[in-house]
Amino acid sequence: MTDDSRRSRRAPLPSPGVEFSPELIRRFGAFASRLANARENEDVGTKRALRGEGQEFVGHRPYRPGEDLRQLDWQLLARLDRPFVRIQRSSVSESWVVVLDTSASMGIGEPGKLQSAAEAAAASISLGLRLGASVKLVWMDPSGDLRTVGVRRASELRKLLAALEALRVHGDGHSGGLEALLEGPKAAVPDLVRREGGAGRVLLFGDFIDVDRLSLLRTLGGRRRVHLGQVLSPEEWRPSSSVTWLNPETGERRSATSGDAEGVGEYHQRLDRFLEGWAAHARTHAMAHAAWSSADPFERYLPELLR
Amino acid sequence: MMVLAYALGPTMGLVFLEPVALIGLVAPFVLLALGLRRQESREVYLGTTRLLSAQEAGEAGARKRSLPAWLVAAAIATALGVLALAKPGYEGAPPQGVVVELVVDQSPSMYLPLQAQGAATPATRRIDAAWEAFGRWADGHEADITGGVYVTTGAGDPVPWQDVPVPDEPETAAPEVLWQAHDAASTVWITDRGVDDQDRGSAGLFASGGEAIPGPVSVGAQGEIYWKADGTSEFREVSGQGQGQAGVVRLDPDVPRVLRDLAGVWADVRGMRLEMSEGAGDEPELWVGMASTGAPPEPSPGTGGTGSTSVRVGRDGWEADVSLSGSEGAAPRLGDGWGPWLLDPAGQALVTMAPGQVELGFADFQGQPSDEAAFAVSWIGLFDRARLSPNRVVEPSERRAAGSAVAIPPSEPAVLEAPGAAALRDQQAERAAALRALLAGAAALAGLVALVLLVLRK
Repeated sequence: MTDDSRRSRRAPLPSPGVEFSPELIRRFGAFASRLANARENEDVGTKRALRGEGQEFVGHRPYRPGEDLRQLDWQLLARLDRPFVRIQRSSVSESWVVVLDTSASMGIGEPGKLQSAAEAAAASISLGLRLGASVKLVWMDPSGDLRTVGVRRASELRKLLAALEALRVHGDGHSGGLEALLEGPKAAVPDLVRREGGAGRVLLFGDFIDVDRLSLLRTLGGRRRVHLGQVLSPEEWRPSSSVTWLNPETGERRSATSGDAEGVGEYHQRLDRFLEGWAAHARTHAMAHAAWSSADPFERYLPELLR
Repeated sequence: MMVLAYALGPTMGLVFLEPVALIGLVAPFVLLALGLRRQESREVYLGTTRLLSAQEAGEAGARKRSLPAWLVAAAIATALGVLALAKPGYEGAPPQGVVVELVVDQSPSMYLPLQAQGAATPATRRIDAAWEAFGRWADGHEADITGGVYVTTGAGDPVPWQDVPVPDEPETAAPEVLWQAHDAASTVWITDRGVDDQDRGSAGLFASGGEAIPGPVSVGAQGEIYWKADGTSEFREVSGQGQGQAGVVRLDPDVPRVLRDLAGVWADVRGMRLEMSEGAGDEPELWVGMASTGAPPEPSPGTGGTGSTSVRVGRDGWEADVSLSGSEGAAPRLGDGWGPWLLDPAGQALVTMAPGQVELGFADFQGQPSDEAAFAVSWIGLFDRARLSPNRVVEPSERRAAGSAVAIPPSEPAVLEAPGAAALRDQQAERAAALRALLAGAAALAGLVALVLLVLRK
């Protein structure tokens, strides 16, 4: 390549960490409650993958025409002469593994991609705990060591939120990326998934830029439910045509002129193919997938990702 | 295009009337430089740069440095706007020259010599010396402005100053000029003695100065009163043929009796000899007669249409009835040196005067005037003004020394435009306005294009 890309000292990453405001934490709880309630209602009369080995009775609600009569509480009908159905939810049997990409490319964007991924993870974990699942958070710290934090009760959510707030992206290179967690000498996710006796759900949050789809399939394939949360920065969605692009992981620069209108058009085509490739991969292998901008609120895309 | 061709037609003499605004031309260059610098310096992290790799490789380094079109359009708009603000216009045609209004003192002192008799230099009149001083300034000013100095002495068109002759001495003594009435930036006063600065604000002043000039201040039959330079005077008997003769006042026998009596007293006081028209033929210093030619004056309203009529007239504080009848009612002369002194209620001249002459257009007075004293002073004043100055007789105030010469140019002579300059200026103003409108319109259009490009870019 004969462009003017060069490696040199670069500016610090704009969004290397995570910060949860009290308002944000309140939103996590509200989101989890709303989605959990919706799940409980939907559980009535339907078989959902979310349900595990047992069902936990949580209450009654009036019967709606068309619902499965097997859910009807006949004793209550006889006593009150009004139809009610039993509301149940999955018991504590399910375990979730939440994996976060902390590579350098997650430290960009305003708001940052790592911030957005951490918010999505926190909201998902809140939901999981609300649904009675045990949750284990997995990431790689800046020194390259694998870090995990597991909780089983909703009361321990603070512990996970603190761990998320302590996240920092890696300074350079691809270390801390999803690929390194899925395959390679430090790949820990496959062992975690197996050791937990078969995690019911695996949630991965990152930009998936350097993740091999086949390795993902090899590692996480099976009966478990896999959710792929793909976050890109606003600039990655709509890159400017008059700037120097800087690769956060390699330090490589692309001259400003390479981003002219025609070049940007080509980029958009390639980005569309890249995202569509992940979406198609997810559909084919019964995975959930959502791609969003780090500027989007998690309430917009997370319900679809967690279905 | 027609507007452009019209505006740029006469490119000769195109100037910027507000050249300071041209500093603003730096702005578009700064804008472009900042754009280039920003383009070079702004770095944005992009995790998806690998999506560019194949494309970049395909371009094989065909790099070019370009500015966004909106920025270029904005720079053009700024440049055009600055040019419009600098007000392009045209240099006007050079003026033909300047015009000054000359106010010339023609009092008797102006015609006295600059120096007393006996000086080594030839006698030069004060008016000639002052005129020459004005001429020296005019010569120099013409060289400075590469144009002419033109003068007006009244309501006429300006003429080159060289074409204006030194005014002749009036036949009757002219009064001093009321200078304050002529104090203007384009006015030049020509006199013999310096005017008080309190009276002169912006007018130019060329004064000859001059020594005190001894000489007669009154002449009678037996001799003359001689004024000396030290301010004293003495009576000198004169002898010899033609010397010491008193001046003559000649009256028409038909002049009303009251005026004949008044003229007699006046002549006696002045040491003059009163003659009726039948008298010997000495050239009189004053002639008072009846109008005998021309159409009779129109009767005033209310005075009757035929026969003897009576009208009420007056001036200087007196009033009297006069009769108009027969040939005595002919109109006195007017014009050609004759001016009105007394008018009837309809505005017709009843008494006119010229140097050395007074002519009456009424037959007689009817009854006594309302104020006899005012009547006498008024008519004596007329006789004094009309009387020809006797040779060599000048009032003492005119004979006094006039001090040193003064030469103060006018502060702001009026500009005299060349013929056709006004039309050319109007045409140039139209073209300049069209050019400015064109620039402003183009700037607005470029600004709009820049805005649209910027919006489309986002």
